[in-house]
Amino acid sequence: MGARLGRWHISLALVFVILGFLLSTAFNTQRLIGERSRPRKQNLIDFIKARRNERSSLGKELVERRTELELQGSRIAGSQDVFTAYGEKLEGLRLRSGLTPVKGPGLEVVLRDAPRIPTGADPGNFLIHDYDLQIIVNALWRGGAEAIAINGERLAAGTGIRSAGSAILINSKPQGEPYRIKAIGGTKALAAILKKDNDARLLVSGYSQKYGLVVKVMTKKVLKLPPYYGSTKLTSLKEE
Amino acid sequence: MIPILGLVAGIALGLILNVPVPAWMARYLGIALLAALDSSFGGLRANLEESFNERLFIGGFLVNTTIAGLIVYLGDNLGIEIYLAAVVAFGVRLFQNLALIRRHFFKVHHWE
Repeated sequence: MGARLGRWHISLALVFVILGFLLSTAFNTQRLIGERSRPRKQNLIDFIKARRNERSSLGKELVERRTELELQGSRIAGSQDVFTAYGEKLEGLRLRSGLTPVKGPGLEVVLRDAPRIPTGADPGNFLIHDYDLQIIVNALWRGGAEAIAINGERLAAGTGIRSAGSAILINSKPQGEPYRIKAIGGTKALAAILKKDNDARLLVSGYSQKYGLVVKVMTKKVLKLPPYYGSTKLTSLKEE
Repeated sequence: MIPILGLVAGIALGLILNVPVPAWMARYLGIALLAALDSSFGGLRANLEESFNERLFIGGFLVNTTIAGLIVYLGDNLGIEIYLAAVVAFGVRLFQNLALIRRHFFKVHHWE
């Protein structure tokens, strides 16, 4: 009855080999599945945290470098007459491009989500969206704002205001409520445009009442806005 | 000794080869493992009791594994976890065989 080795059948040993093979394979598979599913989320969280820290430290370094560069630039411009004209032009351009910290009188608009969302209602109506910020910002530009920042993010040429999930990205950095829009400009003109501009008026005095969105408009004697921290590198653009 | 050597060799083989098994096959692997466990202990018992029939053993192993795989496949497609039936059947047989193996040792060592 079959080949034997001592008192054991070879076929029995063979099935035991298969059993062992399946055991270790199942063990490996289970470990692999566990590794893949469980800490994947944790890995992503760690990854995001690390990147966020890296970004903020790089951002600080960038600010330091730019300040240093500015200092060196103005020193050269001041010391040599030839450069003075260029230096002044550069300063003016930097000021207009939003690359310098600025201050001046202006308007502060604070927007918050509705404190309570009634059950059964569409929650979208009770939240501040990217387009709400766009409406206010566009109205403020229309009213002659010379510099605008939202939550400390200066609006410059490459700035976008768009939503990503539940956050609004400004200069690609996620911001949550409250949204503080600070605009430097003629305070009367800025306050007037928010009443004149159709969309802004609707938001400030229409939807905010209807849905309980919190919109506060304050006139400020002195507003301080930070510079634009984002990249100013141009890769495709050339002067015509 | 030979079955244990076989088991160790099999485990080593599996660890060394480290065959990647896709997640959807994990359940088939599990049921194959159970079938192998069932056959191994059944064979061990038969071998100890000197009633080992090679054809019956190999045939049983192959048929059991195949049927168990088919049951898992069927269950996956019907949305019913029929594979649990195979798990229970193999599990019960496993314990029966273990009990008989234990009894065999008792008899051999005159502990009864």
